[in-house]
Amino acid sequence: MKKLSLIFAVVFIFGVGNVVNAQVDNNDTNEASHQVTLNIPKVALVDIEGSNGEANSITLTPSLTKMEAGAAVDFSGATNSDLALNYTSIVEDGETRDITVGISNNLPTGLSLEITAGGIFSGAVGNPGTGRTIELAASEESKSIVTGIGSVYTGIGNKKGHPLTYNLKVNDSKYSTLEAASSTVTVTYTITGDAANVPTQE
Amino acid sequence: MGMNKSDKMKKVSFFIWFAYFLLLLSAKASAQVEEAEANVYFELPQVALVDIEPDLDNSIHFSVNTSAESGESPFLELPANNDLWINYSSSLTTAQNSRSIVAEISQGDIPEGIRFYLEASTFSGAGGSGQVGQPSGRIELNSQPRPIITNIGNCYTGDGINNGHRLSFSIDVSDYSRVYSVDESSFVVLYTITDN
Repeated sequence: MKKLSLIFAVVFIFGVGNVVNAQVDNNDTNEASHQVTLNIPKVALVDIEGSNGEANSITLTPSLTKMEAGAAVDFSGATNSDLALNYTSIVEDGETRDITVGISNNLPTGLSLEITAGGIFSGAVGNPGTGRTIELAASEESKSIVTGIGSVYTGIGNKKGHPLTYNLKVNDSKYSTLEAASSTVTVTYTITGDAANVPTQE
Repeated sequence: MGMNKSDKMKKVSFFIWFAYFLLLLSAKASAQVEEAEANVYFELPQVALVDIEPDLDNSIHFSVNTSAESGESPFLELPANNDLWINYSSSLTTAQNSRSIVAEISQGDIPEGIRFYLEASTFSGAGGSGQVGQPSGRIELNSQPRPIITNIGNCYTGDGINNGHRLSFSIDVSDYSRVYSVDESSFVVLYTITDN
């Protein structure tokens, strides 16, 4: 009986040893696995680029050269195409963003600002939006100038993203109200939707 | 004790049976059965074991740092991870040439527009011996098993980090238009040591 007890004791020690080993890494088979997690944040960034980089001003002045007395002042020369709209976006599945535009104060009576976001320059990667032409005269207006933006980056510079064309327009029926003056407005572009980062504006 | 002959026989036969059982548990026990006249059958088993180190739970987490510059790629730098190692032990039958280790995405999905890569380093470490495997280079992982280490013969790599092959994980973007924000997307990489 003593022999048998001794053997039982040996078996018991074997058994305990195996249980302990199983709790540490000693239960390998022909397979092993581990988890991978990936986090992708929302991103929404927009800015205006000119030939000198960011933070640009442009001047729109009607052309008065070769002007005939009796002719209307030609506002068609009050145009500028130096700037471009760059943006970077990561959206949720199923979401799209727009870029809206507004002005800081009312334009002089009879004048309006027409802005066209043209077709996307080459170099954009992903799903860029579609540009359009909008017209602004009052500060309380805000209009979508680029729509349907998905996950995309346009590249940086005034030859990347959408070209912006500004035209100063006159309403002929308000011609009598025009006054010689200079006026400054700030045009603000905002990319819509949530973002993990803070949207930048200009 | 009052034990009759039949009881003694039962005890003895139980003892022989038990000794034989112990023999199966461990070769160390074989000395105890030299006089028990049990038939001893030895088998050198095939071995094919694989393990990921260092921990029991080897989750890795990728978080994308995003750009603050409009127009720039939103992914400032693509994340990578070199924390994990793979260990294995292999013994082959004569009929077998070699083994491979294949990797696949066994649960969950890699997010749309993202590619996920794994590259095993060449073998390193002082704890191993034998014909260790050759890495297959940078392999894009998907739901189909793909070899990451091949030509494994009779060998063992040693246990733990810095033994075996270091695993380098990386991602890149295949299609920005299909990359969507996601709080936490998770998937499982499964490694299998297979017979060729």
